[in-house]
Amino acid sequence: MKKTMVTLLVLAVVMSTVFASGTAESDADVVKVASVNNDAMVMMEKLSKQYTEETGTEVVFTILSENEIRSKITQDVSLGGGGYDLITLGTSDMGTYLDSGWTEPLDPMFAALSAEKQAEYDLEDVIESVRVSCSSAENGLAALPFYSESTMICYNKEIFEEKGLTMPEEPSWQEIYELAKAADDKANGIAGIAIRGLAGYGQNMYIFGSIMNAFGGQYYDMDWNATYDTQEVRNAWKFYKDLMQYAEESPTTSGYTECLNLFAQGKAAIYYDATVSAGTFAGKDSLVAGKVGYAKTPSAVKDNNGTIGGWGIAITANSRNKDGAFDFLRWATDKDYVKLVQKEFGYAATPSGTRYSTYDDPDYLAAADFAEMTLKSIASADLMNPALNPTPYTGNSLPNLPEYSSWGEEIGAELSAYIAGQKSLDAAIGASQRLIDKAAVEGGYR
Amino acid sequence: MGQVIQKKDHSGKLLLPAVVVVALITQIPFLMTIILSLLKWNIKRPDQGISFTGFNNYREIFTDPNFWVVIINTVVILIACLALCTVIAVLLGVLFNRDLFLGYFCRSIIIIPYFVMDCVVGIVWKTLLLNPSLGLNYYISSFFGFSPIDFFGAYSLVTIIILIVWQWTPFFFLIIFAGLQSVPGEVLESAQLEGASGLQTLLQIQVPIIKAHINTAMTLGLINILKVFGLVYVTTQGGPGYRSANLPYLTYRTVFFNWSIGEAAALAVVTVAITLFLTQKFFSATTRH
Repeated sequence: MKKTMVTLLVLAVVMSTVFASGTAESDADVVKVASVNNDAMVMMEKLSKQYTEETGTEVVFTILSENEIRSKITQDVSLGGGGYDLITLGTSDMGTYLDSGWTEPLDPMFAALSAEKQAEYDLEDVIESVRVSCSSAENGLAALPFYSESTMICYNKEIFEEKGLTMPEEPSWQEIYELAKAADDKANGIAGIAIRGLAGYGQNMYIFGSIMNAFGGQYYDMDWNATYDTQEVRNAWKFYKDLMQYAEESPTTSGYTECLNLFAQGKAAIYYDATVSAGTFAGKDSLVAGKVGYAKTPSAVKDNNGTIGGWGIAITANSRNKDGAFDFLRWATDKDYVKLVQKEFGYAATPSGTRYSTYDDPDYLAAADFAEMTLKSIASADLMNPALNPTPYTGNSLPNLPEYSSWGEEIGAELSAYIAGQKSLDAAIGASQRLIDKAAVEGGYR
Repeated sequence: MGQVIQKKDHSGKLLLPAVVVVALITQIPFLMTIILSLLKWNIKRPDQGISFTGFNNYREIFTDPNFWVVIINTVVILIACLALCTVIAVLLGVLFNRDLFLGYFCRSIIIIPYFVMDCVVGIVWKTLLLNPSLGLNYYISSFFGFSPIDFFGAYSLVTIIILIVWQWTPFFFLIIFAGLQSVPGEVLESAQLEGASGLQTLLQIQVPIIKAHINTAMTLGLINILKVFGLVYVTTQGGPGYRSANLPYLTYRTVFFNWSIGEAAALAVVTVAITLFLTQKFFSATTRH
């Protein structure tokens, strides 16, 4: 019996050594990517075969929907799982993940590259505001963008022509309200505006945040006192509710996808959302291709309210193949990759909003009539100064605070209850103010 | 005279492996959840560390007004769905417990919703059927010349109840129908000869006979309806506000948006306690007589 046990133990040790060494060897040849399920990353997965052919390194993708991948990634990196080498992160997470020690700072990795490789990648070519959005104020560059966006107005030129309406190139929110009201024709299935109302920190709060900033509102003053129950924020809430009269049917259940589909089907006159939507409207499945006009994110008492958004890729701190991950990351975000995407999938699929050089390409500018407004919207968004008055946080409509997903989600629910007429303005704003105030204390900011 | 040697009964030990497996799978995770519920641990703030906080997480939950809204929603969903599923399933059972033209075919059609995943049910109803801008809802409303109904906005809780009933009635039907088929034909014939009406036969003969089947369907239904998550997640995300949020959805939000592990664990413990309490009360109420 004793002999059998000893034999089994020896066998277990030998097997684990063999498997462990096998894993160590294969780690160098494999890069594991956890990715959000959007067109840009699905294309990257397809094109990664070419990278494997060039380098011999296999790239394995785990692609899930936005909410699922966010939670999977957070669990993995925060608990030190080490399941992935590269992870896709939204704008508001990149800096905070680096500050939490969950991802690898990229500045030292770039500094360690040869001058030739640095020139080849050309970090300066990445649009400045986007580079800032991918960085932490304390620890530098956290991720590299694979597509970036801001917000802008799209409008259906055919409907505008029929109704005799004109869209200013730089409209105010009041003008958008008047235009939406004039264009609204629900009896014939046309909404004045398609705009998110579904509760969620990445849904209605993404859109409403930019409206609040435009109206002069903000979450905290420089001493981290909650400043949500103010006349400016109340004006923004009232305006948003008024605008919803001319929005899609059932606004509180309409998120990004619903609004995108509505406008692409020609059932909304105006659309306010991410610039990346313009590629979908120009696509072959869209009923509004060639009929869309563009305008800058609207203003009120404050201008330049576009929200820098999009996704970047970061290297996890627990990665066992950081060099391989960095090599693939550079390959998948450099200038040649942009050309490769254009060659394989056409100009409409170009990774937008990442590099200045993309917008120097006359062929791309000719093929994508939205390119100019996209660049203008991204370049003008002021990530460091989101509000009219100074704020202790950065980030446009999504503040770069780790607790934002929590209280942002709660305020999103309050906002949707107010829109649906379930809560009064006083009750909803009061609850939101208390949430923000509590977060400042519990987070140790005040 | 030889001594009778009584051997010890070791048969109880045969149960040991099963007990160990069940304990490992169910009780240890639950104990872990209870321990986690006593901690202050926000995953997104690793700099704050993990600390013992006593019953603070429970206090946070019970003093949150939204928690009570969710509790009321959960109870309303539960009572409405159990009542509707049972009544509809009994009526369908009576209908199909006779020779009908295409009876087998219709029976198969009726049970299909039970085999469709929660999320698929939600997506189909939200986008294809009830969407007021692009779904069947819009086209029917336009045809009759009235405004489409905002099912998932203005009537979110009622709509969620309707969808749960649509999905879970087949489950009740399968169990109750099996019960109805086991009612002896002679009993029904005797009732008919005695001049009992259809309603009297149903209420005074069939229902008492299949009471055990109804209890089983309702007890299992109670446990399953309390756990509904996918439907809420896909259709309303608990909104507007907290109007259609139930306990499982609130727990999900607490974990994946608040990232507060302690609070989410406390919520899970409360959910388990409520489920056990309701199941036990329901079971004892239905088996009392």
